Amino acid sequence: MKRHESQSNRLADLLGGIDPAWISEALATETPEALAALSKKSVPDRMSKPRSSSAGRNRVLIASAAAVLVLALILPVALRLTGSHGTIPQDTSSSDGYTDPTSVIPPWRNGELKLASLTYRSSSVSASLRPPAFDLLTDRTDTTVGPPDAATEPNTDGALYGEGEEENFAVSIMENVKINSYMGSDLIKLRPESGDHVDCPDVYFDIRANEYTCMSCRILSLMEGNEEYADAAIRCFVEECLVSYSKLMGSGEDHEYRTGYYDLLIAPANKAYFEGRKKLTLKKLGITEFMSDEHREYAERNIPDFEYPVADVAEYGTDMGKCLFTLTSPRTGVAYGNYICDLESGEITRIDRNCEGYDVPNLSAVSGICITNDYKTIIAAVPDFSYMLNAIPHTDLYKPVYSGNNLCIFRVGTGECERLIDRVNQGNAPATAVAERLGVLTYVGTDGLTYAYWNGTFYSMAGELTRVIRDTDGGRYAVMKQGDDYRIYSLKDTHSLLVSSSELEDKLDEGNRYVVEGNLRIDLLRGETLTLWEGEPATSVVSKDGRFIYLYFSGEDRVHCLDVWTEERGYLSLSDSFTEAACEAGEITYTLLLNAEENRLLMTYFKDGQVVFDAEAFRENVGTAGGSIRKALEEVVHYYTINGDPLRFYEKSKAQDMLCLLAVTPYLDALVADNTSRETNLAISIRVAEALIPYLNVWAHSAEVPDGVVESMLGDMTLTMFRDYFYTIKRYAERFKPKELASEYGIDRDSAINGLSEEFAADYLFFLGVNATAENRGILRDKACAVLDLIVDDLRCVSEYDLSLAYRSLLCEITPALTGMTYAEFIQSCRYMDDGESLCFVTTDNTANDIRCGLNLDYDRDFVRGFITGLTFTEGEMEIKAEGRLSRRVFMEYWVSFSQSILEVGYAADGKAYAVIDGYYAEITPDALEEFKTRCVDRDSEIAYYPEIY
Amino acid sequence: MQDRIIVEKLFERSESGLSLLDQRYRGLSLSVMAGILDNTADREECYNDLLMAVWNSIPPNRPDSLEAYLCTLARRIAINRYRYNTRDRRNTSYTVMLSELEEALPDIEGPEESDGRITAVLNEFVATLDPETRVLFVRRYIRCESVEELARRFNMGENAVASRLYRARVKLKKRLGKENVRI
Repeated sequence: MKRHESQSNRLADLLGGIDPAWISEALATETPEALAALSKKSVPDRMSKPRSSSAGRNRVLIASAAAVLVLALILPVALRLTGSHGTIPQDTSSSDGYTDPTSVIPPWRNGELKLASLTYRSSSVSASLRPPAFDLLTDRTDTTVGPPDAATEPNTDGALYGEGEEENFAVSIMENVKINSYMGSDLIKLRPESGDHVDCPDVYFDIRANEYTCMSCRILSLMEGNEEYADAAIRCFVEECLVSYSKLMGSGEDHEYRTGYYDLLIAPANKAYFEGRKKLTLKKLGITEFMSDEHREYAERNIPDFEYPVADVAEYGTDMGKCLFTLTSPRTGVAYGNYICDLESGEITRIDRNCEGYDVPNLSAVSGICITNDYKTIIAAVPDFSYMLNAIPHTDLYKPVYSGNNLCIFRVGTGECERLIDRVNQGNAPATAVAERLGVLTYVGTDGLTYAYWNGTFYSMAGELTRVIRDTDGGRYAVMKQGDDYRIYSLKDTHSLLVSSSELEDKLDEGNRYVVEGNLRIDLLRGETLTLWEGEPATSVVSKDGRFIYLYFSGEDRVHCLDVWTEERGYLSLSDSFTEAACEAGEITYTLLLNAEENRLLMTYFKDGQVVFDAEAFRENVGTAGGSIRKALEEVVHYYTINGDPLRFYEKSKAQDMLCLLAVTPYLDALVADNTSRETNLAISIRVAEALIPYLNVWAHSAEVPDGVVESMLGDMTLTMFRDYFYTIKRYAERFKPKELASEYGIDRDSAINGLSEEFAADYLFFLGVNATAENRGILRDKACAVLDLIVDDLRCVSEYDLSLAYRSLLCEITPALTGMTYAEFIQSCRYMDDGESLCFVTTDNTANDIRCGLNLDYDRDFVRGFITGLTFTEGEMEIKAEGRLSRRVFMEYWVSFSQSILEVGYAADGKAYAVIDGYYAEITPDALEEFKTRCVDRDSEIAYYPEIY
Repeated sequence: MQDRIIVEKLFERSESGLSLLDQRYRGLSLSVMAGILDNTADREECYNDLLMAVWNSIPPNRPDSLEAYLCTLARRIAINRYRYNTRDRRNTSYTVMLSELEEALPDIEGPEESDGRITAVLNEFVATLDPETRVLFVRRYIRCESVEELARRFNMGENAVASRLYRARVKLKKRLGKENVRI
């Protein structure tokens, strides 16, 4: 083992010393495109013959020719002395002679820019390039040189002269130029000392495009005397910046946020664009922690004259007590994200974290915002001359991305942002703010038509939209008014239906296809009416969605339940006094009917016409909530978790309340499935789970709980709960926590997530363990295995190495808690549950001095299963006994960890030899013990043996 | 260009060279170290060591590719720290990488080959790899990027990356065996 380890260490060392050209190549290849391009290149010399170090040197020369060239120009003497080795650290370069600078071919862009001549002067060397761009020499010395002398006059071939403004512009810059700085590989910033642009700060030469640009003049000329065109100028400007910025950044240089070109250009654009907009500084907001220390340091280090961002406050949403804004750097235009500020409390929340991969709206620069679902969804209309924000990886910052006139749906909870309009096809872009009606987005487009966006499709309609109708199958209709006529458009196929105005004029609220007036049902689509019931009910309640009507007629002992849509009817046994408490949970419509007199609550699922739940104790919590199941849940959870501790609650309300909680749990799935408020759902689910788990223990021992319920609870319910708990916590962890955890504990994100997962799994299994009895052991064992399955599925993202470690630690923790189960039993159960998907790992039994390490990895289908059952030595080398089959890699990864964990060897009281491995005793042979004694002490010794297991 | 300026400044013994280098290559260096060291504090410490090593080694060295030079130095320093850290325990991703490399070790008895000879063989071996595999190989075993990172970066499946690397290791093993090189 040790021999191999030292060998692999040496191999790793020596690999670090390979030709730097290969390292440069790999480092330069950062994107799939670059990789593909690399593979397409013809490299016969590389493929056909081994590279010698001199070949490497040549390659380095070529690959870094720009640098070599400049260095050669700057320091010809130094170049002469040092040669051009592919230097490896710690090596001392030796000179291998003078390199003729003229033999160096500038690598710039397909020969577009070529070295025309080199001129040696007394103190320096200058290079002229064709097309003439600048005098490279000045780049280093920062001194102004005069016009190129006759010998190096680059214009003599006439290639540079041409008709038109651009060429003249270029020449005028070129004639007497001081190069200000060298920006990356493609852009050179120039400082002309004569000509039109002598005072312009933003003159650039793009080597790749072989063109000059004076950005300062360009933007001014676009804006000059043309106020209404200012936005268009900015648009062009920003667009141009982005193109250039992309060139500058390259697609792979995520880690570096380069400033300069980008900063200088975006800043005036922003300044002009936001001129006059309300500014809100961080100081005024009382907020100083918009950026993490890391990001602030980074910004301070990398952005010259870094200024803290200011917020451009959007005007939208202030009437709802909140305002939306985007923080931007006043100088660079880099955005620090979108925020919601609660104007009452002053609380500011960032709403666009984790948005990598999405373009999000710049809320301070949108033309209209529609806020739905209690600020959970923001629909933003992006004006033509604005832009959206694109996350700069690893920085938590955004750069502007020109999106064209657009419409986007930004989901605050998840960070997802859907751009609805193609940049090219702008015909249906919004000209007005967007409204949301029954889930349908509506607006007037730039072409004057009214647009509706529903179910992923745009529909265009003529006229004024007056209302949206929901059909019983969930379809939507748009009611358009043209003159005195009303026309109903189906948002499936834009099929339209002309209807008489009288039926629609006074019903301009949004609603269902069927409207109930008195005992009549009006079908708005067909203009038909239907009598739903006869007589005068004593009480009637319409469900929130308007679909169900509950009627009580005096003298009857039942409640009539009518489905307005389907005309179905059912009956509930109930007295006359009830009110609707809640309805709708996710896709399922439930109705809670509260009987005030009897203080009873009926939870019905109308379709079956059955009472699902009847619990007095729910009244206090749910009955007052009103509105929806979610609200009720929040109330319940609040009660359980905030107002009082669970035990107190238990004492107060006894087991009936537990039943209430149990009744709540089925809704978790529906809640979690509701994507529109995922964040709330997660929070609720987590809180319910956290509230429930402590109960379970108490409840399990309560005499009041009916027989069989404990087992049921410990079984399916808790597993369901755990599943929700586990997944929601994990999702929550993935979305919100890892960074903080990683920062706090100095671990990476995956470790943080997996650590959480393990912790929760261990908690749950521990719970199972302490509740184990002779009767329910079987159930618990099954549940434990099911939980393991669950985790295995969920941890597939983790390497098998981490997985094995996680399992080892997990099962070491929980196995003793599973009272009454021996390890052997557990192994058996694990084997039993081995269905091709599961994984188990069982460790040692202290009392038996026996090591049984089970590995059953089916990760990625590459691995076959097996069990490591013991250690012996064969011919002086340690051998691992394994049953079944393990892939070598899994085996090795495990073994690397395992072998390093041997802490001690010795003889037990019974005379058997043992090794202490990771705190557990393993029986070994006496020979093995002797080997350990001699070899384990010196860990550089060789004690390894790899069984070929495949 | 900037690399040259940095090197020149170092040659002039100007500390601004280190400052420039820090600005330009801090991210790269730390990311190389991140493939080997899990602990942030360790990486920061190693990064300081790296700056010191650069200061001490340039001059006399004048690397053509400062990027590669730093990458190599950063890796070396991080590996040393890794060994120091893991004298008693093994639990980093670098361990996984080492175990992969073990697959490339030929079963050859006899004296160990010299560093120079092995490096030459390794260079020849790397040259024979197709460009894509070469990039993956170098990034995995020299820059210590994980298979997951590589897959993500190059938009490939993890299995695809893993199998390419596996074939490269097998190839390396054969090559070393053929050249009768014992590591």
